[in-house]
Amino acid sequence: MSAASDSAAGLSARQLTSIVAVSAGARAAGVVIALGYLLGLVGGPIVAVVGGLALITYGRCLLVDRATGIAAGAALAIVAGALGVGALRWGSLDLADLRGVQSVLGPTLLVGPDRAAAASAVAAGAALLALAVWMSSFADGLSLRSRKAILWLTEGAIATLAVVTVFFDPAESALAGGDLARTLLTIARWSGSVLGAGAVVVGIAVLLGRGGQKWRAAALTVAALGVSAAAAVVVSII
Amino acid sequence: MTVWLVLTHAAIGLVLLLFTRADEDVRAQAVRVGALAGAALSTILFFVRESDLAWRTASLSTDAAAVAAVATGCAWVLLAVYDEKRGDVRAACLVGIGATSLVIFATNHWVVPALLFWGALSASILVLGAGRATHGWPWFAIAISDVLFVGGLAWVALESESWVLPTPIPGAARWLIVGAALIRAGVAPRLAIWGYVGSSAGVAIPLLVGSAFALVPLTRGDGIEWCALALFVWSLGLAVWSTVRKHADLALVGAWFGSTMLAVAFVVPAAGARAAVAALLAGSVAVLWPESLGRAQPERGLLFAIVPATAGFGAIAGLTLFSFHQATAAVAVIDAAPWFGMAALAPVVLGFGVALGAMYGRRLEPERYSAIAVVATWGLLAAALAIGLSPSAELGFASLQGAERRAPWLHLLAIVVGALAARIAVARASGRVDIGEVSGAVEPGASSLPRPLARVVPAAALVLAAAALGFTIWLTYRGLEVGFL
Repeated sequence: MSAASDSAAGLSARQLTSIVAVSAGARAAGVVIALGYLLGLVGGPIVAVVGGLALITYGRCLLVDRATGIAAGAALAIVAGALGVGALRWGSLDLADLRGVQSVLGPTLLVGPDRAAAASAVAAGAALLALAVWMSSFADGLSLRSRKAILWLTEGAIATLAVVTVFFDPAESALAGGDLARTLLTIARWSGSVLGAGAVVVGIAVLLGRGGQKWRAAALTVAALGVSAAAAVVVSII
Repeated sequence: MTVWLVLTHAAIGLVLLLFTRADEDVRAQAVRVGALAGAALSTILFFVRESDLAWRTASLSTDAAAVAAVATGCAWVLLAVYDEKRGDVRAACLVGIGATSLVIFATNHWVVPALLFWGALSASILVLGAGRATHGWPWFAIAISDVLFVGGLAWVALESESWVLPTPIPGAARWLIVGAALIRAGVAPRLAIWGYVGSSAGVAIPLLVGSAFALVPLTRGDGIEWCALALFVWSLGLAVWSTVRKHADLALVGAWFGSTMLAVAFVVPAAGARAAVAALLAGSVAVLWPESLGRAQPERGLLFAIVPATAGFGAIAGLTLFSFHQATAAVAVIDAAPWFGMAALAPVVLGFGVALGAMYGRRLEPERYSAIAVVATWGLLAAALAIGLSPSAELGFASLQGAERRAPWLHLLAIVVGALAARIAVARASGRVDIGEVSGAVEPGASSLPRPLARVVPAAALVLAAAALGFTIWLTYRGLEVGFL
């Protein structure tokens, strides 16, 4: 919809400008907050990262219709819930704790008991599926060669990094403690994990984008059920 | 100094009464100056709240002082907006008296002064709402909350033969206070205080909500976590209801935000003041909405969306962390259950908050606004951000040790980067803009009473309020008789 036709429907150019400005500001602020915590520049809980993702979602939702916005909000809730399940597996929401325990015992997905590992895998899968819905909600009419697509992919990569950090962080030890080669290897594995998971998310997002709202709703339902089941299993174990 | 901070609100109101016979323009100017002075006084109270100041039974070194400061500040700001060019010195006087009553009530530690100033607050709000078309349900809600509060405190004082206000209230009397807090916070969108939205009586809403949150320290204890869980589920229902409705319903929005933050305040002492401030600011922005149609929409949505770095996000983050900790530390399943429930629901509340805030942020609205209402909306958002960013309040997180000390700076950096991005986006958005549309009206959400109840409900409210007042006077006499002073 163009600015002119919106004006005719009630939104003035000034209102549109205001919405676009706040949308861009919220998305940029969300990226800074989420990255600050995920890269360890600031210590804190995974809740803070979810806050950054919430800001990004708010900025995106300002530009889409009601149904798409609700789907994005629901997807955010499911991703946050899945991250909570991963944190519950280790009994801590603190990002440093989550990284530390995985650097010693291995990625959350692979650490027994088997039921806990399986539940974590289900939660991780649900998080990626919900993330795909989150991505597809803002992909309508997006050209992959545009600036918007770069921002879209950057935001997706940050959200994927959050999932990777909680469920399959490949770091074997703290970066500060290793030699250069080991550090570079860790960074490469980290980047590879994010790229791999991100590619899966983008692939599913593109498919969901072709399917329309019904497919998004179905994917969200499956993801919500997956997170609920995983949470029930983890709660029964701890 | 404390005496000035406490009594000057009422003094401002009484001075404004002297202008009753002045010209309308003079009265309007006087009310505006008085409202600004009141807001400035509240700001000072907020900043000196940790300085151990005390006056008679009032002690400012509590979270309640912060709640009272923000509540009274919001009430004065709303008065400045709603009074524009009317010069309603009577309303200004009532706001002043209500503000002083709230400050003394919230910061005192004795039963009788609490009852007396609670009564004075209720009386000022009842008079403020008199004559409005939709005052029936608010009157009834205030009267019921008066009966519950007076009953709860009288029960404790007479049973324990102590005139010190116990914190928390022991025994079953605590649930009467919980009931009073629920009603005053407006958790029921159709039957409570939100009938004042859309009229100048809306200035009373921060005072009512503030008094609800001032009760919270009295209510904490065994079982309150189940109440908070129920309230959280209720608030989620309100959020879903708001989301599916075509029209923006201010009563629903206010009730949703109030319920969510009251649930947080019930169970997380460290985030209680922050939750109260978030509820007060969001409630005030909702009251301002009809006066700022078509302006500050995405900014308003930001406040309702509970995102960083607003005060509301700090409260939700605090609830999540506290619930998670309590759930993982509990030994018995039954003890862990409510905490797991709240930790699980927190992301859902956040998700719906974002969707709802964005819906309100891009709503098609006619541009019918007053400049002062728009400025006030921006001011309240700035306050929410400032309180959300304040290092001493810890952003709702555990502690500010080590790397966590950088958190406020990161959020500040995010705001700066966000502002730059917004500026760039505006420069590039001169052409076509793609945006989804959300249509629908903005409704107060409150309704007039049906004809058979139009006389009965206000009359019943007056009878209940009179009964509460009578009991308060009797209890004061009884207290004086045994020499509690």
